[in-house]
Amino acid sequence: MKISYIIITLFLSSFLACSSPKTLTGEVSFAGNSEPGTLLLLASGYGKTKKEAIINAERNAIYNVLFKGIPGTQYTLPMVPDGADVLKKQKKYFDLLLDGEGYKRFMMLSDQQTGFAPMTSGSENIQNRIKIDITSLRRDLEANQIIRKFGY
Amino acid sequence: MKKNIFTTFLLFVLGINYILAQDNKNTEPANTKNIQPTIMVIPFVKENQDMRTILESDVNLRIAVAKIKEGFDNRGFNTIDFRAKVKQLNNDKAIELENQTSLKQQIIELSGADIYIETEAAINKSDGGNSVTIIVTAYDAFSGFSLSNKVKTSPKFYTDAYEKLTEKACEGLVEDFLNTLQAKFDEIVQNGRIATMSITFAEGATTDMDTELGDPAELLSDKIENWLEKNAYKGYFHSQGVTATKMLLDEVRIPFKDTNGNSYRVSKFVAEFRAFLKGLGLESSRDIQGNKIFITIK
Repeated sequence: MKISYIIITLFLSSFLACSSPKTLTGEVSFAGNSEPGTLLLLASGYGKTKKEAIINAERNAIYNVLFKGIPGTQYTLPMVPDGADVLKKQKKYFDLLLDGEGYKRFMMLSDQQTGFAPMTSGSENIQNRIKIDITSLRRDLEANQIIRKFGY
Repeated sequence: MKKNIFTTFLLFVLGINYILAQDNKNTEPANTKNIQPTIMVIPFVKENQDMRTILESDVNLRIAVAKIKEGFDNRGFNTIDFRAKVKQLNNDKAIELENQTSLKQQIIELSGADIYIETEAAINKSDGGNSVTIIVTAYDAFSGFSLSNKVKTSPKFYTDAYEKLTEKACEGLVEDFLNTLQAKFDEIVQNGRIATMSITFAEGATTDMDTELGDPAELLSDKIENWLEKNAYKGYFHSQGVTATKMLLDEVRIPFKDTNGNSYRVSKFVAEFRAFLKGLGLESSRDIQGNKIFITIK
């Protein structure tokens, strides 16, 4: 009986470990100048745990850079034009990049700026300062044929 | 026995996770074959100013031009070197230096650049500190359409090191400029490139735009418009006006790539148009200058 419980727990936990919070918000803003080819952002995240909230903040930052652009920076245009279309066509790539935390390869810094504060029932808020290596991210998107290289 | 079940199940779960992880690595390739335009970065000059002298005497302008070129290099894109081109032209004695306005046009035409980028660097001095403003504009060399424009001013500092200020202003501009240019390229790929068409008649031609031709008989101008409806990219063209002796089309959209993803040349479009005229029993000659098409019906 005990072994059955362990098996069920293991089975569920292995899948839960793969999941990440999906709340997407536009709470991402320019946080100041950084080296050329990088982008420093302040992003908010929500989650039931601190870890979940941080992942959500990081995911939010990358999502906004990819599909919305960041006002007040050199990246006001989204890196991926026709976002909704590309998200559908390249689902596997983005599942890995956004939900599988593949974005961490392009994250040079993720610093907690605020305490883990309750915001709404069932979810809590955190704010992180995040630095993204835009040059590498662009090269990865080009290598995986998500966006076209410079030119027609 | 229970241990065996546990181990088997554990391996099963790990196996599934591994397969899912591998599956995520396979991305669906998109059709992203690129056709690279040729680009040249040139200094902005006022009328009657010598481009080469201006560039060689203004270190800030040289820095700005170099920084813009560097931005292209970082995207894996090579640009035509303006100074090398000017030197080559001077050596060839192919241009008359006293006519500076035509010098710019000649350099652009002889360089073969599809797009040229004008760069300007202006020093601003004030009691609150000095700064440098950079202005860059990308133009389609053939149609003259503006493709991307950006202005950026460096922060103000109490310094005379204008080179540093120029660098600072360029750093805050290049990526945005290239991203806008790329967005314009995407739009052109999506909606076709713009060409202009001028259809006229040679002296002594026996037909004109009002001649009825074909079966069913229609005016030549109507026949041409019907053909363009079918053959212009997504059926888009705009007629500026038609008279008995002339038809002017200020916008005819031509596909950028053929169905195989290869470059679709303007000359190919023209060849198809001339074949259509031939089908109507009309001989014609053509002249193509970049995206400008001139057809003369004989």
